[in-house]
Amino acid sequence: MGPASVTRQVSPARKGIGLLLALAAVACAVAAFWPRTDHAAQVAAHAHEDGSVHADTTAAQPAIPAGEEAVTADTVFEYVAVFAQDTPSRVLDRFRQLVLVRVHQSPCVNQAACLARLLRSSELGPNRLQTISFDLQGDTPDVERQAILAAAVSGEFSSTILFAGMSANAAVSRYATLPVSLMAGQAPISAVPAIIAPAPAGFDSPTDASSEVDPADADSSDSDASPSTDH
Amino acid sequence: MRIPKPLLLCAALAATMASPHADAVFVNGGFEQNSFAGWTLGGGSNPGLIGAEPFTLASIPAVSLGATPGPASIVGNITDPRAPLLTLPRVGGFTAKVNDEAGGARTTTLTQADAITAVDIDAADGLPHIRFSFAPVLEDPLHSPNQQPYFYVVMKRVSDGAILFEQFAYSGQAGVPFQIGSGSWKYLPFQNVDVTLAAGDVGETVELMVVAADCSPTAHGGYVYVDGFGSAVVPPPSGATDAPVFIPSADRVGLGLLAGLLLVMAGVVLRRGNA
Repeated sequence: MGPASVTRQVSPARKGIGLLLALAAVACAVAAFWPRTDHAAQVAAHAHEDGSVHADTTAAQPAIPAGEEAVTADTVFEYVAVFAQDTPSRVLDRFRQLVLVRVHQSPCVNQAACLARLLRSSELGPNRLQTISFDLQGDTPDVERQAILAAAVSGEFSSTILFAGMSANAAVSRYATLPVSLMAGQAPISAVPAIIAPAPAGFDSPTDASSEVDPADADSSDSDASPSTDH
Repeated sequence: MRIPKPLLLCAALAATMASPHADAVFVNGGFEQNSFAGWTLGGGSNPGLIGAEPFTLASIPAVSLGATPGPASIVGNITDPRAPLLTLPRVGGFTAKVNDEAGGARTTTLTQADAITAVDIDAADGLPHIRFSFAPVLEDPLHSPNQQPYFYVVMKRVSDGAILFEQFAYSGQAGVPFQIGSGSWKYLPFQNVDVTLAAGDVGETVELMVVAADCSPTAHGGYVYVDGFGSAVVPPPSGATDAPVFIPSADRVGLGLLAGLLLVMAGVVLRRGNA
């Protein structure tokens, strides 16, 4: 046999490594295409080396477990303040400082202000609006509640629209249907009832338990989500 | 045996794809290290809430927020006798318990600050999210409000101090839907919080703080369970059955690419052997 026909043998070590790599490739391919159960997706969402949880685009979006509560942009709050587009972030924090965490007229129990819960959300809806959803304490005096709501839409917050008894996502949807003049703060909204934006005719949110607060009816409303409008 | 350069390159790429997201927000956010690694514990004593406005962080005396940690622990698969309907652990195999039931007018704080990265963007809306779950369990001794056990959870953006989420409640506070536990204990079901951030918040640092306090007259306790800090949806509780399972964070595309790379590597090894 001439030199050209000599075939060098692959060493056993190389054969072994090659075989192992090929097997690993097959294993990865199988794992990549193996149907993933919801359970596996849930575990994948949180099972990392350090136990931290982070976004995993393959993870399922589980419903809220029975007996638990969600605090999200879909959660119904007593009030949702929707801010005009491009409102600087510092204005939202000033809203918290000047409207929510100070006593206006009459303090809640033990001289405290009346904020119970606050959730700030960014870039909601197609207009990418910012919101502050908040609940007041159950024992908030009427006079203080009125003062809080009035402060929420006056002064530097005059272009803020306040919605009652709905989620942030529902509020930004309704905000988008309001007349431009109202969104720009041009409407006469100094009276408290007017700041609770009514739902446009025919608007219906099938997933949101919002209260429909019509300014004309606000005085007679006894819902927890509806502010007292006595002055 | 000299390792061919293409093989080294492939191995490096494969290792990169298979590694977990090291830069995900919150270190040990699920407490799956069975410790408070990555977190800062603090606390002090509770002389009672300050009477001035409001019942938020500003109401909590500085002596309650010191560097002397109050009681804190990691719990696994247990039933809390004071709130037996809570499913523990909430996520994975472990849940943190901030403060405890023993009383003593102690406060415990749990804090971590971390940066938001592109990894924390939710594909559903293209925005970063911070998500977590908490459940306060507080004894209700019917003291005056400023003497009651209380909890406070707050998340803020560090650069401008903007408060992104906060909730404060003392035990039995009007309007807060406390559930009745055993004896004089009350609790809230796990609250699954989802804070939607702005796209521009990538690169910002956010800070989470949890405060739990006994009553100020010392005889009654209160604590908060917390878990699942991160950017993914907090999955339903599963007890201890699915915990500490490690799944590489490479997704289907990554695994497919990894398979291809391994095949190339196998080919390189065998081809070099025949050369």
